[in-house]
Amino acid sequence: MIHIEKGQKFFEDENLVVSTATGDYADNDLIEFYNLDNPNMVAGSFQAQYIKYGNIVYKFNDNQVLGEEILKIDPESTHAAASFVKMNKELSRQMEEGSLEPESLTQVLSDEQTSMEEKMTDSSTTTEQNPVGTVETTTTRMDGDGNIIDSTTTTTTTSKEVPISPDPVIAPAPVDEVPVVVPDIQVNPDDITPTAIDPTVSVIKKKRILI
Amino acid sequence: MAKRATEHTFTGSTTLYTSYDSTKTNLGQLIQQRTGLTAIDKFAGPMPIGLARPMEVSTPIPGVYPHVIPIDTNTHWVFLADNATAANTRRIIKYTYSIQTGVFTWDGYITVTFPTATAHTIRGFRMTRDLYTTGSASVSGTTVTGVGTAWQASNIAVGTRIGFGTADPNQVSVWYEIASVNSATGITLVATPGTITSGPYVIDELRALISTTNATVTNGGLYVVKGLRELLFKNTGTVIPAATTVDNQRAVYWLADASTVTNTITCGLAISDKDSWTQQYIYCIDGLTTTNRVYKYNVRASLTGLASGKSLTGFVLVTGVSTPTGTCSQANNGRVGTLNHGPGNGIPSLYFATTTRIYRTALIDITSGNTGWQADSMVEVPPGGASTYPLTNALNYVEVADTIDRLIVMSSGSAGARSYVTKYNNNSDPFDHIFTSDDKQYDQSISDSGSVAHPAISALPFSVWAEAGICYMARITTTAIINQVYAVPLGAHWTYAGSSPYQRLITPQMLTPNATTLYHVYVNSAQQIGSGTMGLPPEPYRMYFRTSGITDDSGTWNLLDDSHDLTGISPSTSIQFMFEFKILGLTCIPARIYNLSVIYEDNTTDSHYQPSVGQSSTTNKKFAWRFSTAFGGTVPSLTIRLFDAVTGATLLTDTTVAHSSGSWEKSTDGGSNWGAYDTTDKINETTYIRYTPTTLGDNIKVRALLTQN
Repeated sequence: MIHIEKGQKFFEDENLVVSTATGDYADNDLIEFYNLDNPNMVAGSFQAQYIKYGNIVYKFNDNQVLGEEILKIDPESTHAAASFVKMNKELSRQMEEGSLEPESLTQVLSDEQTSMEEKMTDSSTTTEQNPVGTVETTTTRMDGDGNIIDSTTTTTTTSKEVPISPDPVIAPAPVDEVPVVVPDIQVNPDDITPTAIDPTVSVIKKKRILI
Repeated sequence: MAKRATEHTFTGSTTLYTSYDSTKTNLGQLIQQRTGLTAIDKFAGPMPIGLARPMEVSTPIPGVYPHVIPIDTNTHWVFLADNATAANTRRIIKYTYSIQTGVFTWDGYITVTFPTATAHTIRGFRMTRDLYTTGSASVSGTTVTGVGTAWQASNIAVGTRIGFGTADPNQVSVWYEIASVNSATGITLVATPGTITSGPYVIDELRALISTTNATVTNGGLYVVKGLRELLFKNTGTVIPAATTVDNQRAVYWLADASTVTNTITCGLAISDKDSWTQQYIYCIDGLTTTNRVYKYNVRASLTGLASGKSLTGFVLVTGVSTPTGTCSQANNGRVGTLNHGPGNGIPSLYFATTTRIYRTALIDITSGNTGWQADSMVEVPPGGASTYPLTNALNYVEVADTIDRLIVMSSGSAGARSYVTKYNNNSDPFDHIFTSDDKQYDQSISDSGSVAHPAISALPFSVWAEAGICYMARITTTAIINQVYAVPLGAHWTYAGSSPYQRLITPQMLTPNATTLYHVYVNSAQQIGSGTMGLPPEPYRMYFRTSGITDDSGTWNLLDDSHDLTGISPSTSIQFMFEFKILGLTCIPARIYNLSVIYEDNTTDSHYQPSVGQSSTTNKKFAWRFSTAFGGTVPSLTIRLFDAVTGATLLTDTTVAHSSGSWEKSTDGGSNWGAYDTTDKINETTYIRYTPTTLGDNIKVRALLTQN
């Protein structure tokens, strides 16, 4: 997810300016731009990630490498590849510290998602663009050759936050009753081989036992 | 002694065969004379195989589907399409290949932003270069004014380049980028060249044509990248935007066949010659089996109704479906060409590959809804038939090699399947040549330096492009280990070397003054290229000679067998040799010739005899020779010539076979006893022969020569 602002100049070419409405865009979303030499004509569209980071986003064949390179220039990046690297690093850190849990992946994903949303909100607040509860609509009129005749931006402020639908209540699925079998042998939980657990987690758990 | 040798080393003057000169080494366009530090660096032969490693440059991109644009007789631009995991953007690589040095220079790449941001896989790729030179142009500031020009109607795109003062792009020293094309006679430049009076000019426009399949199937189809120029391909890359609503920008356009695209299973694309600045047709084969059909587009049409870079005005028609035998390849499949033989003789046709056949369709049969568009097909029959080489049933790629009027038919390489070069036929004739092999050698930069690069199959398909006799072969893969591009001088293969353009190596004339007998020609050539362990033998060569018609290149060439035996050839005052080289073999590594020598006998005393003072007699006018070297068989006819040593005048000529002016004798005991002459070979070291003329004047200084014949 990348925050793009209308009027924003390109990372690599200050002669190119965003003409698409301000907002948060997926890395690959196409963003229209114009050239300062000819501001009345939309010249084309680039991906949001290119506008933000430049050609580096197309340099690598491996997403992990791309993420690492983006983080070098923007440690707080919300680019998908950068997020992936950050989550990987977090999981690796937990693994090395022996704190990796089966639910760690879910937690890291959730944390990254929250962080991303916060950054998007921060970015909007800082620039006072698209605050929560506002909707910006840009209407552009063009002639037959694609030249912009005029452009009108309307900001509608809602009196209250945009309602968020509550999570639907899902009724528990009926489960056939299964008779509980009580083992007649005393089992030490540490002797159970965790075959059903992710092998990585299994290794960590063994580490913990050793500790 | 009379046994003579004349030698030629390939270090002297050269000329192209098209400017034949009997005093120089004559070279076909793909034949080179190389120099270097060591003796084995100095050789003549077909250009060595060139090698590029797209995955080992500063921005590694797996490059496939080469498309080559010749710039001059020595320079080719080689473009490659991105074969990395499908993504929303694709990159195009550019190399410059120097035929003279055999070096690929990586120039850089561009990134293509598609108007549809879903994952694209490139199935077909071409580049076009068009030079607009009509009329004249003058410049004032950034304003260019044309006379007799039609720039806007010719769909000249923003971003291309223009040069002034010449219509020859190779003579332009400074190029200027076009900022806008305003009218038929008006262009605005990005930067000013100052004031230029009206004169010749050239607009140099590059375009990329890409057909793709897409993760969202209806986002596939044909895309055109307009407004490119050479210097956009730089090592830091240039990103080309997706088009929006305006035509002829530097942008990526989607030439859709319908609002919801149906050209979704594209197999490649084929391009025909440009008919005009507003018409050039592209043919995209679509569908692997039962839905096989051809979409036709006009890639130079003005694009109207553009929305998000998409226009329907480039689409021309689609044929009906027709099921081919085999499965249609999706590897840059389809070539437009006009062969000068076979069912397609003289007929502009589209050729494409299925796993088991090569299909042909005449371009005029590609009409809307036509289900009978597949004219005929060629089944796979290896040279020697299937009893000599197994069928691959894995044909994957076809290319028209126009300089040799043949098709290059590449297999998928699966299980080491080999590939072919052949005429097109529809009567089950065997293919003409089979080439390449799967020796598994890697050609990475970290490979052993003693190995010699060559296009080993490595169980993978090659994508190929033939240009000016050079076959560019890019292995279709994604890894640095095996994603290499080879430049192979395929047009120099000996079968085709004798036809225009001639691809032979011809020595200067080699003088054989007073030659009476020719013996052999000895050639030093590379037995192996590379180190003792890693090296490989080059492909063979064959050799011809002639002893007449040398100065004006009118003499007939005579093929020598591998013994290089010249005995029995009527000698002349000079001799000349010609080499032809095999290229289409297991490795395609061309031979290297270092030097050659001709051994002959001249008309001074024969090398088998030594003049003997002891057995000669001035008093008795006898001329004797010791039989010093055996012939190894019957002694041939010998001739004696007596000259006046002062004036050079011939006094007498006689032979051992029909002696009429004197008598011959022979001694096998050191001259103690002389008997009748015979043709028995040398018996011992005391064998002598002598000749006594019937009459010979007194007080003459005589020079006696004993020769064969």
